Amino acid sequence: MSGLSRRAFLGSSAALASAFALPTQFLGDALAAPLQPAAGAPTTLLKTVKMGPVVKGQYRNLIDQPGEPFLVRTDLTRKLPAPGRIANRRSLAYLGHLSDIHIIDAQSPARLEPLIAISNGFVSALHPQDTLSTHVLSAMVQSIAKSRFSPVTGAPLTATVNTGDNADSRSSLELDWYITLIDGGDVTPNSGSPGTYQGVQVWEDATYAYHPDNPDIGPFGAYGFPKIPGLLQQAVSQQVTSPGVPTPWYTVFGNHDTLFMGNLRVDPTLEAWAIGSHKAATPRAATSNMLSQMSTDTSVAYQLFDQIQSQLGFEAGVFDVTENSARFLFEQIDFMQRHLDSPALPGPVGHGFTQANISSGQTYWSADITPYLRVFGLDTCNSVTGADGAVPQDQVSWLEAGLAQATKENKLCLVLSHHNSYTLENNAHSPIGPSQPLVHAEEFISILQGYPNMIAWVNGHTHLNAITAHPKPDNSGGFWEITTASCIDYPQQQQLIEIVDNKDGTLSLFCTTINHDSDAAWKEGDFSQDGMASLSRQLAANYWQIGPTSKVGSELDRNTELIIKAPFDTSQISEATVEQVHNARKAQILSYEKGMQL
Amino acid sequence: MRQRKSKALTIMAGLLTIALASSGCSVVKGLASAGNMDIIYLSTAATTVLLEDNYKIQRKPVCKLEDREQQEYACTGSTLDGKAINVSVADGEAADPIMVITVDDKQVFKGSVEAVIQANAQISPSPEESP
Repeated sequence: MSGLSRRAFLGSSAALASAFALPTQFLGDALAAPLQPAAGAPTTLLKTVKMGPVVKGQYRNLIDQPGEPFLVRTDLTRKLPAPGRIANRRSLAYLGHLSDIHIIDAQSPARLEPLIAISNGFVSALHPQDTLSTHVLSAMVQSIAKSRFSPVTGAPLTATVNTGDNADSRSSLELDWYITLIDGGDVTPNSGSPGTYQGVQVWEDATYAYHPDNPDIGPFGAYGFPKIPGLLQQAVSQQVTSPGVPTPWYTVFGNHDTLFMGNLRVDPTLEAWAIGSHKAATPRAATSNMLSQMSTDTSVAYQLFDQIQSQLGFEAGVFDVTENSARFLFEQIDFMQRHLDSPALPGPVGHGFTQANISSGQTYWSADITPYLRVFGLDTCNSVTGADGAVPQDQVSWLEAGLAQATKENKLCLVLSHHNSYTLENNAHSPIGPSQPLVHAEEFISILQGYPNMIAWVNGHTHLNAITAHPKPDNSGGFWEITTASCIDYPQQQQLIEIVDNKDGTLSLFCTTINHDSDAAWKEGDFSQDGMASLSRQLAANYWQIGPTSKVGSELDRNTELIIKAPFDTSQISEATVEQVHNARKAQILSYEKGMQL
Repeated sequence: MRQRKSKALTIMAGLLTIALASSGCSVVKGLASAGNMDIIYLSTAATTVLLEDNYKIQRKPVCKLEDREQQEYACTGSTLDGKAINVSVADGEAADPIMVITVDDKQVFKGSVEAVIQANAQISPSPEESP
């Protein structure tokens, strides 16, 4: 039954038609059509990807597998949901969830790949698939775009939320590439000279890296990694085109957007190195190269590398590369400003950040994604050192005030952050000047449990699929924590999250895992854009040092229907309001389809 | 030179521990790993076993490190029909930690955490791969 009166429907249709330059009759007909579950949306409900048999050494191909149905989780309500909910339910919001995209400029001199040879702690400094990050993001955006109508309810995509680690090495180019691909556009991921690749994967000194031209340099050949001549040149020379997400998207900071390599404070040495003309291929060269440009420096980076250099001594292993000032390392203010510089569509301008963030330097924000859904985008990153996070007290106070206000206004709330409840124990404080007390996981969870309107904490960081229930100690309520994998490490999966009102005092949060839109099995010689994405996933699946099999999660961490008690009488969210939200998004999607000629 | 190198590696390991409290990713080798990934892996493994055995889970096993010195882990959960799920790992630092799963105090699984994690992500081995 339509919530809008006929007059209201005609009025809003006309306004939307004008806003999105669509024929009024065409739009009106489309908006009047009832929602139908989009059975063809290419999610893991239809099919998924698994590691297949060994093809060489220990190397496995990937293969298609049957889809995975939703499993109902009742950890919070402790009783089965009413079967009748299916006939009565309505979609309140349907969201894409991106996280840990890790766009990589693999040729950047500032990347410290050689340190992987020193310690497993740097295992994320280099992956066999580093040159293919833009291809993967484009394919993932394609998946979201193809899932622009919900496979559960048919509702249009309300928005996409992105929980950080967008640029892998705080490179300005990485930042540009990631924003362009999510907004929609073209990127050629070559920061060096046209037609050539300048990086560790072609330098024989770098025995710790996968060399596609000759995998027998180092351990990758014995593992069974394929020989793919010309891969790297192809990867960086190719224009990658992304359709963009069809509706608004929002983002938060991740530790890689805050600290260099997600762990270290940026200092002038790193900044100079990033735009310079030398790149190190060996651990000793990496440290000696950095130190040759230092005068005095007391940063953690300096202390670390000073120790290494003083013990290991100087050594050759530095290569000349094309210098590029566009590789400069961005500051937090640059990150926010760059989002404000992005176009009006898909929007919103700023993607969560506003001019107020620029003026104040505040790196967290809140936004009403719909009239009844408020999202809080936190910054849980430690700006001193360390990959893990915490929540500064001033931000907690701000969040609590916001949640209290949202409760008064009968709004549902989501909290977005990069870090999750397992990685919120970083206690590093700046040695200089006062700093905020840091709130860690146990206390943060307890705080969130005090606000029943806060139904889900959505995050990433650990590159794995995990859904955690946080029941209140007396089991009178609680919230869901939804942690999504990444675009860089296997399984290279992201998520769709739909908030559905069952109209029986409960809500269902449908979590649907998505693969990027490329074939499971890479065909030899396929250097197309989608072929590269497919190859990336295969290489990632075999990168044993990361422990790829450990990140897929159980079936209770993927396609699930999470039941939660509705925090208030949801009939207060009128059908008319929900319909207006759906109509606005449908109109934007139709305009997107027209632009894409779909 | 050898002594210098050994001292260098010790210093590096210490500094790296400080600088890299958690890389956000770790290899499943034993359960002891960076951050709290150990308890996630254990929960994933236990849940996978229970689902494969067709248990209807109401509360997914939640794990914690009970004894840091002994590296003992324990998880609790429940089935839809109210049975208690308990998972234990006696030695999380073993090269191949073994987990024991009981439902209503009856042992339903004892085996390698790593093997379950691997099998979860892979299709069943081909006859050529099987030992």
